[in-house]
Amino acid sequence: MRLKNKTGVVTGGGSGIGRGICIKLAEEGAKVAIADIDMTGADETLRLIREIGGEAICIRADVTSVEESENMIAEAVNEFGRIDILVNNAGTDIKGSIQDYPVEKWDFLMSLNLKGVFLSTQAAVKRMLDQKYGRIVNISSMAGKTGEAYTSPYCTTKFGVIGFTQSIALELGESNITVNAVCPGAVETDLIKQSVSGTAELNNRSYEEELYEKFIKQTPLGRVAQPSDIANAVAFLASDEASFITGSTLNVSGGREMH
Amino acid sequence: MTNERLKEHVCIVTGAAQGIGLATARRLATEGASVFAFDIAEPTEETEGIQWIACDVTSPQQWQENVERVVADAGPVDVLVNNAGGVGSYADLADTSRADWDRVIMLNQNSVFFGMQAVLPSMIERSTGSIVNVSSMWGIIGTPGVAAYQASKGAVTMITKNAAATYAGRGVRVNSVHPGFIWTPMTEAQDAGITQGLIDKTPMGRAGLASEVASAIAFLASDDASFITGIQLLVDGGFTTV
Repeated sequence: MRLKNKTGVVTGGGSGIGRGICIKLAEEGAKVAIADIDMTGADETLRLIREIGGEAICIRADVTSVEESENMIAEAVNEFGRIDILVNNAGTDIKGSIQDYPVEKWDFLMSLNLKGVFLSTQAAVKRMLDQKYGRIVNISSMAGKTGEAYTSPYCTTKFGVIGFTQSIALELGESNITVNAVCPGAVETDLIKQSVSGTAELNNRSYEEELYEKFIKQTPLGRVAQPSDIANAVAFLASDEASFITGSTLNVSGGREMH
Repeated sequence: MTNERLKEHVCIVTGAAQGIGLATARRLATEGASVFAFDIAEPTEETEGIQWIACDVTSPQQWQENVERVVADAGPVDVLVNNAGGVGSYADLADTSRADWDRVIMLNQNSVFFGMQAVLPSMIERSTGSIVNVSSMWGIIGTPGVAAYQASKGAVTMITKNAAATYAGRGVRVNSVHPGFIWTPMTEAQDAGITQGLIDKTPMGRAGLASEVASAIAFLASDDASFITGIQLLVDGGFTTV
């Protein structure tokens, strides 16, 4: 168990990649705070962690709020005594073309995907500096390094996450706080399953055919990622295995992105 | 659960008599692997789970013979770590002799080509395998001097991506690891001024340990990285972020 006696907060831990990360961290021995606005989802993650004998709590937190981000970290520290790991995973994507993309949606994505990362990190770093120890892992994306049509707001935020990661890695390097990003390719989450099922029907294809056309065809390793693939990379960066790694981005894209 | 990630895996590590190679051989052995350590130098001490094989990695013929030996002894190769290498020459491009250039390219670059050629056919046939090539942060960013070393490490970065792109569909993953300034016999032997300058420029404010590179190599070698191919994993204390 590489994360024995460690404690961590995972934002967006109530579904998809975030849930996979929570489970993996718990499997490796960490005590996990599952933060989300969806408490039904968070409770389900908690149930899955208890099933494998892990320890976790749920915290309701909207990471776009200064107060709630601060409370989220305070509650985790209160419960576990310290915060070793922060995984900034909460985020979403709303696609659209540049000529008619609504500014409200743009602001919403900036707020959730960027400001949320900033606020959670700021709250956690204050504690990590006192501890002289911290592992921050930010979930960026393949779209954080390469542009994608009809995805300009999401790409903007995910490129931003990498700039943020590198900058604070430099600020915190000598304090034994490492800051890294993981860049997933397509991950077969419930959200992706829904979207693939939807377009499969429109295109008169089976789910598998649609998944192949949309994602697998472009992926050198010939499959889509499961949340556990991303979680394994996060666990590595969150552990002392990666103690000399900071400011870096780790692609988990099946070879779709090599830079 | 994680310290046996390479159970029953047959692994070759080159340049394994010292430094990063030795730390990697030991690390893979603790993860349950059968490790074959290739080096021209004799090991200074025996380590359980590691078999030493005298091999000059600049000789394709020795590669073929020794890989055959490993296969006969333990079975097909699951993991190859191409780590052997050296600075060779600190000279600027204009002052690099043809002999030094050839020697460094042979040791750092051609050896990686020979090694991958020796293990790939059986990996492709079995649709499984993980290759980790040890490049350097100098295989990604520029620095004055060390012209041949930089050229060779840059080549390792690109042949890694090429092999990853070529063999991803055939079950073989290929990634590179890029150490920053790490304490090893190789770096301990260099000018103290160069060393201090590099540590000062490292955001984490210290040199890395060979074991910290070994753990990154073990991650990429294992199934924890089963969806990862063609990447450059930096283990540099943030150096290239600057």
